[in-house]
Amino acid sequence: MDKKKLLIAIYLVIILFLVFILTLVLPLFRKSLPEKTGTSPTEFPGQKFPFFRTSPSLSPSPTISVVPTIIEKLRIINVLPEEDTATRRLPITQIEVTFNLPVEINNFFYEVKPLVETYLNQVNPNTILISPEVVWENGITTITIIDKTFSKNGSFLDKPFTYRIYTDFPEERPLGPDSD
Amino acid sequence: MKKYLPFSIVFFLLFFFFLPKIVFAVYQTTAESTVKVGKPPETIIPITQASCPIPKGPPDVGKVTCGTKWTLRSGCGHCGVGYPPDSTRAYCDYDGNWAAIDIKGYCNTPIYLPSIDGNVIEWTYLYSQRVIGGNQQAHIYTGRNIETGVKYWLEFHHTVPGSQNEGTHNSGELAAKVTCNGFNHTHMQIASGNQREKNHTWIDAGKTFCLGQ
Repeated sequence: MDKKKLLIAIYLVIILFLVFILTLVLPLFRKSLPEKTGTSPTEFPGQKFPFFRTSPSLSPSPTISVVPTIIEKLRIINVLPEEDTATRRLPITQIEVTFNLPVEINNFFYEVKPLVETYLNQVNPNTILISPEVVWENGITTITIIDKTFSKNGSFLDKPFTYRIYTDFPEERPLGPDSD
Repeated sequence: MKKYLPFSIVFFLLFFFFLPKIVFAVYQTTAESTVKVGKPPETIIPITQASCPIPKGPPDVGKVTCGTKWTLRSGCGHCGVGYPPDSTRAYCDYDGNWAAIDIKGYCNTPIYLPSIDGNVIEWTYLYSQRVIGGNQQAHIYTGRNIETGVKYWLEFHHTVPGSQNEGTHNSGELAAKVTCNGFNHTHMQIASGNQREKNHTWIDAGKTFCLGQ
């Protein structure tokens, strides 16, 4: 009888433990918090979530009013040069990405295939310049801006954005004895 | 059943203990490993003036003997006025030829990596174009403005094979030497990779390099 009770107790402890762990782990898989809920959203490192704002009060008050704010989704509104894989471009071509909202390079996430070393520069608050450290590889390079990219006000990119560019070295110039 | 109970408990405990760490590791690998952050924000400066790869010297070293199609120098423009019609037919299909300048130099005259807008550019030797007749090569470099991040593509033609300066070097360092097969000049053309530059591909070198030479 005692063993049976002990087993039941152990199972209950395990179930409670699992529920506790799941409560901790589940927020990791969420990108943002639905506006209807009142709990605090998950934060990525260095990210601010202005979904909720407490109203300032001059005197201490037991009540706190919560004002939900509608956040505009982050979108890419322009890329230079325009995507055109039929046009051969120099392998140093830099790609300028403009968003509808200010974005910092530390919050800009992207992938490059085939992989080459790249660097970023902020042209203006809404525009980021992607450059190859030396050159893009010959052929098609695909750059994917991941939807983990987020704006200064905390809104994520609406969807992953894929851009392709075709680069190659210029054709060799015929360097004959009479060339100029 | 009862004998496996302790193992099951230990398994669950270990699994849920390590799960958050695994999730974070996956997130960091996918999101951050491909990202390299560059210099802090800088304003992009338009190209207005650049140094000359062959400094002025006697008797006429460093003189620009032919300009670009749109900016004549010494009464000549590549693929335009004063440019031999045979050369126009033979070479003006070549990328950027119209935007090139010819700078006077003799056998083994040193050619230096230029600065742009007074800014030091970090140049990296990329490759040399093969020779079709004649003892000469074209040496090609890519450049990067350390302040603004703007990238450049630089070609020196009619240069001594093997005279390139391999690796990464700053403006003012040796780039190549003028060929010894009687050309007595180097042909220089330069492009920018930044779409915000007015001539974001080939830069009119006649307007920006060796001014006053």
